[in-house]
Amino acid sequence: MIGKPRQRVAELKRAGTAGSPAVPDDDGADTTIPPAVQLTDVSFDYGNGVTTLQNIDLSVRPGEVVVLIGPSGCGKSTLLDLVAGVSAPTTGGLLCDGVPVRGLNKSVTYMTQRDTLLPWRTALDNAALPLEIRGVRKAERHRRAREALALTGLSDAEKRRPHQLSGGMRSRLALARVLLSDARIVLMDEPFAALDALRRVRLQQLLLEIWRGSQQTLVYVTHDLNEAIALGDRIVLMGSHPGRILLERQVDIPHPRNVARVRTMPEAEELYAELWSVLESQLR
Amino acid sequence: MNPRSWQVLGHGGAEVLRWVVSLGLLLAVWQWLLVPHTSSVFVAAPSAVWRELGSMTSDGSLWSAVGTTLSEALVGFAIGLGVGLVLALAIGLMTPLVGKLLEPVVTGVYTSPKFVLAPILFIWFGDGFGPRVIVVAADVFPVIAIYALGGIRTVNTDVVLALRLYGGGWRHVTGKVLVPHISGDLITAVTVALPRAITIAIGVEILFGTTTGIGGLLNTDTDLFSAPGVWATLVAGTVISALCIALTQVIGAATRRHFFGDQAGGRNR
Amino acid sequence: MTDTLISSPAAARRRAARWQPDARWQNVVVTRILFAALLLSLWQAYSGGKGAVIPEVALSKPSEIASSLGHLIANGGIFGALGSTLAALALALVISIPFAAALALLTMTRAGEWILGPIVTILYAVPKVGLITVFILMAGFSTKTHVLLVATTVMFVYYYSFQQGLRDLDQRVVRSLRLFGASAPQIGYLYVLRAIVPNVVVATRVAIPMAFGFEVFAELRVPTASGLGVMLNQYTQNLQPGPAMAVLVFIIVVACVIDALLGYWAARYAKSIGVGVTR
Repeated sequence: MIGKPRQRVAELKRAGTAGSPAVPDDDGADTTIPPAVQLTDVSFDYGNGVTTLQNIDLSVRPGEVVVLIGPSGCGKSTLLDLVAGVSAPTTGGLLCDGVPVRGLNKSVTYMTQRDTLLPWRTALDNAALPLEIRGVRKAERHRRAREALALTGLSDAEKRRPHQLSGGMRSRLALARVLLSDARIVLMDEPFAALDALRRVRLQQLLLEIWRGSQQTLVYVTHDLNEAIALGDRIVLMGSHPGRILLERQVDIPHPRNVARVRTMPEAEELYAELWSVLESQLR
Repeated sequence: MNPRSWQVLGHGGAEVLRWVVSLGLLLAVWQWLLVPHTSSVFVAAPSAVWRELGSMTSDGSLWSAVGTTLSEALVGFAIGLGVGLVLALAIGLMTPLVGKLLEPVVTGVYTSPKFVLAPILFIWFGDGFGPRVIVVAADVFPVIAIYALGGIRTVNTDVVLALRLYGGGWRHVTGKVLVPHISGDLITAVTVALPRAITIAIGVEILFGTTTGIGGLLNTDTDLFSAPGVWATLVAGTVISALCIALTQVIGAATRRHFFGDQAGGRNR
Repeated sequence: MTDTLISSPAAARRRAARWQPDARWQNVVVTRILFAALLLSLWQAYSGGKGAVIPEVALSKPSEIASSLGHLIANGGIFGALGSTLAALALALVISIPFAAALALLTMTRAGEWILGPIVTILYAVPKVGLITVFILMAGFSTKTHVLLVATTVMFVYYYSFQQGLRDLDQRVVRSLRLFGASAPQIGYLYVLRAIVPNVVVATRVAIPMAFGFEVFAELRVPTASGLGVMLNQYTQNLQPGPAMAVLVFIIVVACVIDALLGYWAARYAKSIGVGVTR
């Protein structure tokens, strides 16, 4: 659909992360590299007596796509906030690339449901924002931003402002911007939830294709089981009251995946059934 | 301030404390920062102001001045309220022709600086209660008219239709729909217009070079080069103005509650 | 539609059947011009020397006002006065905006807001027209007095606006910028400065007409060398109602033009950033 996305994304990443530590292959289990994200017995409450997260143990390998799924109120968004350093765990340890998280975690990029695009900037300038912050010169950053826009299918929209873009295009723009940040870990909190079903599937496909080329770790939150199975390497199912991990499952569907077809595969159906029964018991 | 002290004092107590500390700081800055570094020609010390206020209250000059200004403001406000309402009703409810002719007049008066009336009125009538009231009313009526028009134009015509279908006549429509609906906008208009009325009254007194009213006191003190007098009068004026603002907020909130129940500042559109 | 509020639908229909100017804007303008012309001719007709309905000594004939205005425009005097008034106004704005911004920034901290809140409320309640007396004592009979008065008045408009703008900042955007590695100054010029522009626009929309009014007031009270209020004061002191009314008319026209321009620019700006247009 977009033409050699893997190589392009890899180039973009290399340009932005020259000098960063070696990251292993998907199948490698390099034990000298620390997990991208590691939560050890993390608990969190907002100080009002209600425990939002309880005894969370989670380890995310570099380059892995981990999907957090659960009913509302299970603390999955809070967990992302902790990893991003927006809040600090009440108890327990949180490490990022082996280093404790103190304050805002600069190795993370956070993409939320409501985008944080700057309304007065064109799509090109919005995408180029992370580069601009890092001091990349205008010609270079526009070049790389154009590539990112091309990858996300926004080349025609480069001069438009966010309010002139549809919801789907805005999500793609936010995605393009994420590509250009040099964060090693990307957090996504239901980024496509506000889109209609068709657009959502297209964007999930786009995300997968882009991700194949990059080596970023992705922690993705959703309440949509199909989305979780389509995107994730590993699914972490959470329960609520209090928020805790109920189970984890590897998704053994090989890449490249076709998001629209995934749900008809037997492995997916099996996994769906298993996860749904646990989720259902939570919703009662 | 740590959270526990809030709990101890209670919310109301905390607010009182806040105001005391804040005003205390203001006074301190006034006394120890402003006074020593500025000339006493135009900055008076708090103590001098206090003394001046004392003498003004005891010889009654303050009360008569406040009374004069307030009466100008209130009478002007009342006239402006009436005229503004009539205009709004005329523009909003009569034939569109009337509206199209009158509305530019209202907007024009609203955007014009009202103080320019002062010299002209002075030539015609000289100084006096009447001219001052005219200027106040001229400032108030466009404000009232514009807000009231806003209310009239957003009346829910479905409700009116339903009422008519049930056999309601114009009395019912006015009483049950129109009045409650525009009361919200009117209250807001009053909270805006009443403090303005006081400001205009003082301004006109200043321009007329009079000796009566708060503006008059200021004129006298300027002629006498009396900084304490000026500052004392300003303090008095501030208190009056602040009371007026607070009063209109309270009345506004009470009237809103009366018409709209506990909807926080809201009304059905 | 609202005219059926208090009359019956039948009465409204009857009214509609009579001649009405239709709603096309050209017809509206023509109707208004005709109405104004009617009023002016009545005024002209009833105005006259002693004994007339409208004594000339108080309120001049429209023809006289027009010719005075014509003279003033022809010899450029009134534009010089306009220039002085606007210059003082501009200076006052330039002075007060940074102050207002600094004050608003201070109230962004808990301590700042706690202490400054009541102080600002009190200062807002000071009758600003009265302050001119302090400024007279301070700066005497000069333009400085004007500028000080206007600056003090306008400062509150901008202060409340900046405060609102800062409070409305989207913390998620700030957070995402920080995650991209932006420093505080970068967040300031990449986001904050641009994000509060709508607030500045709204504040300016209110502030400039207000400033104009207060500047004219200041000029009337403290007539310096040049200015529209100064001119008005001059002619009224010299009992020249013709030119005085001409200046009055000019002032009103300027006020309306300023207001219309600001409204137009504000609406266009709102449209350019995709916000619903409000005037």
